[in-house]
Amino acid sequence: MRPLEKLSAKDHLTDPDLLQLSSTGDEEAFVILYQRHQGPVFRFALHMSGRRETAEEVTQDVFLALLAGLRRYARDRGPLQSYLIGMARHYVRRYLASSPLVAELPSRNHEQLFDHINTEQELSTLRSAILKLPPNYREVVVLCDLEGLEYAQAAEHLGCAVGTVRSRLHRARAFLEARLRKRERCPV
Amino acid sequence: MKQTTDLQHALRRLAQMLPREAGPATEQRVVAAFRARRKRSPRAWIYAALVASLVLASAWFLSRHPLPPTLTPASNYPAAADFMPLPYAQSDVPLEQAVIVRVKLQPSEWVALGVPAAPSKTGTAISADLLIGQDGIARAVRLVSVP
Repeated sequence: MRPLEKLSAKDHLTDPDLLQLSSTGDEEAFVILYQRHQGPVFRFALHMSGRRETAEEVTQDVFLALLAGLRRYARDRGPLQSYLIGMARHYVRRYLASSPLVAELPSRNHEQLFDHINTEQELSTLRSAILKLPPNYREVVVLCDLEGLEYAQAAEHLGCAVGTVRSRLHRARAFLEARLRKRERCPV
Repeated sequence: MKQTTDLQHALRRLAQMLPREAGPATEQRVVAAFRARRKRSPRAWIYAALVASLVLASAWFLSRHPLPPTLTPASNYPAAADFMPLPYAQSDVPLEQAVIVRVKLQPSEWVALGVPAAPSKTGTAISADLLIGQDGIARAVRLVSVP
């Protein structure tokens, strides 16, 4: 989140307006666009890949691709964020094809680690289970359950029907619950 | 139901626990790429100015240089046949200010123009009149009996 003193008159502009300004070389407009959308793109890539390093690279690639085709984005193709998440999906799949999935949790100091060990073990299990989902199912869990989007928004991002999102999410949750139950029965 | 609620609760906790935004280094790299691109790409008006000056320079050059010596005005020579329209040379521009230019064509050039059979079997060049439209496209050709 940017500090208040950095807010500018361009913050209220719409994405297409900011894109138009960016295409004429307005750096401030492009930075506002970046700061407006990098969070969702980064989190999507992080949840999909399980690696912060990959998420940073995907975020960078997505915005460099946007930069290369500033005039290519058309308003009628839907919201800019769907366009960016669509690019992030493409880059994440490319990264996943070349490197294995590894779930990393944020590092903590030793005292916190001791206090949170049980929670972290559970969350680590959950994260590993999410990463074991097929990409189509993982995407809906990331968008709906981790990012908190409505089904319709997720459907727009993924370019599929709302019913498809709902059914994939239902199956993905069943898979995750099964994994967690299995973990409870066999904790090691 | 409880299991689902637990799962959703755990998913929310997981989402809160993980980093929410890309690091500042990523923003710096993206902004650096933006600045590099801005330096590389001049504004559109520079392109427009370049094109305009090229057009003006070409017009000036053409006005100062006469036609090549092999092209002779055709009005001094008698014509032996009517004009034959050239295939593939139909233009959307109506023929308003046509120019007739006399040229010498080798038999192979007749074929290249689309005339099915070369008028000479000896392989020597033959004079012909080309009817050229104001758009610079040759529309028709006629054989000339050279004096």
